[in-house]
Amino acid sequence: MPNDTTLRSLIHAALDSSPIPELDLTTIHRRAAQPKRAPAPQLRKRRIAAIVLAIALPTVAFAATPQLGIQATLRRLAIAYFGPKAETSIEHGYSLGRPRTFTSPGPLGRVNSVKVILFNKHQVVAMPLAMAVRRASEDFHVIVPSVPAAWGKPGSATYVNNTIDYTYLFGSRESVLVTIAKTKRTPSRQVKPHKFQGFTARFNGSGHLISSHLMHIAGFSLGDEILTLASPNIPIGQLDAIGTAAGGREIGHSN
Amino acid sequence: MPDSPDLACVQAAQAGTREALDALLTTCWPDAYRIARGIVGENALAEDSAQEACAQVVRTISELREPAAFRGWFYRIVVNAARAAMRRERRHRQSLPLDEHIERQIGDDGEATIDRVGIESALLALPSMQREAIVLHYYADLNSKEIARVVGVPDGTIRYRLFLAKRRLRALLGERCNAAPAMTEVNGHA
Repeated sequence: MPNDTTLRSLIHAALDSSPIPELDLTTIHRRAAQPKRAPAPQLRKRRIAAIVLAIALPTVAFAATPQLGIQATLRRLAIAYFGPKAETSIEHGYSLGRPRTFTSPGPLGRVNSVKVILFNKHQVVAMPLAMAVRRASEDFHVIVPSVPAAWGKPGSATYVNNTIDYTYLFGSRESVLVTIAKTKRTPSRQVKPHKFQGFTARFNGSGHLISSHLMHIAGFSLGDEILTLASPNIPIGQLDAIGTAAGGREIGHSN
Repeated sequence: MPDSPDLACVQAAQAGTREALDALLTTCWPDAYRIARGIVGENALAEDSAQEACAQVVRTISELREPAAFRGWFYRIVVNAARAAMRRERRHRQSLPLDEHIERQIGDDGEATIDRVGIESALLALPSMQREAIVLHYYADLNSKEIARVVGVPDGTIRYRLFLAKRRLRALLGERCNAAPAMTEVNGHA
């Protein structure tokens, strides 16, 4: 069994016998001149935010929106947030009819966004608005749906005082206002309002995406969704017919 | 013991003299390479570590407060560079099978002499922290207190690491030493 002196001599012999590469002073000075790489940022845990797509669509509007349009918007959103590879993944999700989750590293290396898209029977599934907001802690996408021919063309979407208003244009002058408002239920969980971001999309009559753009939403509160149809020019009976045709049920009116 | 750089050379390098800095690097280069070689166990990785350590010396030698403490300061840079290189390469030397690497030769007088590959393989079988301590102790001739300052852990921790490392090395190398004469005897009878 080697003693201390033997170990020392063995290690010296082993390290001394290895050939030493030539000292390259030029390379060393060049490496020294390069800025030292910053240490890799630590992954921040508990900072995972969710981005929910398409499930922010109100139920009534969802029923009136062609799946093709929703899927086109989802595809566009996924590519915009997660790059071209997301398209393959989202197509895979459609084909399998299973939920898909996307993640992307943020600028500091942390996972700053997780996207959850639900599929069922090869279609995007509607989800109550409250659940959508609860799952979307950072970004909140609102998709303005296409509407039946009687609704006219979709216009802009705005968020004011805890309500999201959709405007649909009838002809060149008339319009109908669709309002999603919170109910009297107390929200069980608040979401930071300043981080919301909306996404509007417009579709043509056959469900193809015409245009889309991001919009900022000042805030949102949890609650069940109620669509309020209002228009200064359209008779109340026609509004009822629109709501019923879209799958809604009248729960009251003011006139 | 590795060559220690001249104090005047260190001071001149700190003052910004390029020739002194190059001379200092030339003096330190073999140490840097061999210590890194002992820690990382691979030539290319050791050269990269030694180069990075020398580059770090160029970058920060002006911040060295005690020129007389250059040796320990330099060893610390080398050890840190070797650690970083190992992390990058994700080497897990501890899991290497020793039987495939340890070789030994038996001299005419019966005294076991273990070749370079054997001792290096035994070193690589140690955990990296024990390997650092062993290389700094046996090659750089640092005592436990000096190693503790280089590595940045308490003296007792270094002594314990050295104890474990020596016990492990002796076991690894001793098994071979003890096994060889028996094998020779068997072969002789045959």
